[in-house]
Amino acid sequence: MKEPFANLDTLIDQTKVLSDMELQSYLVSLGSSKTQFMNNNVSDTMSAVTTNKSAKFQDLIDQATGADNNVVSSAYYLTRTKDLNNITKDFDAITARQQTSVEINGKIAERQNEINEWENSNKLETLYIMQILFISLSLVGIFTFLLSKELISSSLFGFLSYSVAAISVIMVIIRWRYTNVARDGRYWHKARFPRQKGATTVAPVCPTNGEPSFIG
Amino acid sequence: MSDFCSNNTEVISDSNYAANYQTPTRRSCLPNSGTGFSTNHISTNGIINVEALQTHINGLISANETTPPNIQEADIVTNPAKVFAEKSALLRTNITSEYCFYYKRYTYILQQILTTAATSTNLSSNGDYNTKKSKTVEINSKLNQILQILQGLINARITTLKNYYGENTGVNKLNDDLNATRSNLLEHSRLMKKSSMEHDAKSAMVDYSVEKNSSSRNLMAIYGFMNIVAAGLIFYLYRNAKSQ
Repeated sequence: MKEPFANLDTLIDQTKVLSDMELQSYLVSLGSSKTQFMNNNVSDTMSAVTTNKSAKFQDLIDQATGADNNVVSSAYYLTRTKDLNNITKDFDAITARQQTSVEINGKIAERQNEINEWENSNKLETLYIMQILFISLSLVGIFTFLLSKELISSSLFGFLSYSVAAISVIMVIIRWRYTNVARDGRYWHKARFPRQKGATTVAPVCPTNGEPSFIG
Repeated sequence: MSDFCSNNTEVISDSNYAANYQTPTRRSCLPNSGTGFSTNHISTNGIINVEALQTHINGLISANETTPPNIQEADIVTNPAKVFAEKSALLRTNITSEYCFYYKRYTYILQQILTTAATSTNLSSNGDYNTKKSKTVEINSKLNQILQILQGLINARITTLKNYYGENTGVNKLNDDLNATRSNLLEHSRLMKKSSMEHDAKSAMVDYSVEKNSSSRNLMAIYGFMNIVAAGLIFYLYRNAKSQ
């Protein structure tokens, strides 16, 4: 470290040697106030050093505080943005689940509608059979009435009655076979046909219930 | 005394001016147990080697748990920003305390050697003067090192801020994610509305098919009754025909 002060007496001697009359005159004039001069110089030096040291530190610590505060503010902002992002993602996930649920419910309703339609058509089929039965019974009733009035013979009555009964039974068998063999299990109005040899396979447009397309 | 040192009421004397800040209960921000950087890491004009300073800053940040919040891991700590604010404030307080510790000693010892230099003769043979002079150099070096550490800390924070506001990092990335999620949410809401309408239509169709079934069931009951009547009529006529 550089010494701020040299020995004043030596300096006076050196000044004398160098014949620096002006400085010599000043230093000699100090006389008894030499100590005061030294103290003032030391005080000034101390003041300059401490001011420099404290100002530099104060400046840096203020900068550090500012930088830390900026990081804290930014971190809060980032955290809040992330929270907002997470909330939005949660909402999105809930919405996606609800959408899936609605889609599943929609498919259930669609399937229920198919089942109801099939059931209704089956009832109509049963109704058709009952109508055939009713018509047959009505015809037989008419034949019976004619028989009771002796307008037709007993053998003709038997022939007509059995004929009507046979026709009815054949119609029932035809309908029963169509429903149980050719009719699609899911769509009432869709028939299943045997697969032809060499036929190109076309992707089905309608969904199936997994039953084989040909039974035979 | 300066503002940063106003809380320090310690009285400095020849018995304690050479004390080290670091004690078993008090940790220094300087390396090597508070003695400062080794001389081979400091240039002749007092500048600390960049790599050594950076390594020490990283270690200091880690040791004081003042690593800036990592946004990707923000969920790990409940409130990372609050924790960081508390820890970084504590680190600044500790650095201030240590700087003040050496600052007071530096002013004391500098006053001593200046006064001695101004009043004494034959300084080279003055042992106390030479000891205090070398100690002044040492304390001055510590003060300068603390200032450089503080500057390094500020630079680290600025780097963190740059990462926070980078083009594809931090806030901008989160905002991009937020916009993307928001778009997804809007799309899902739109689809759900559409699906909901379809569901309502299908439910109405189910109700309609149930009513059709009910109607068919009624018709079947009527025809069943009519068939029974027809069969009974046949039986009645047949018996009449037989009796005649």
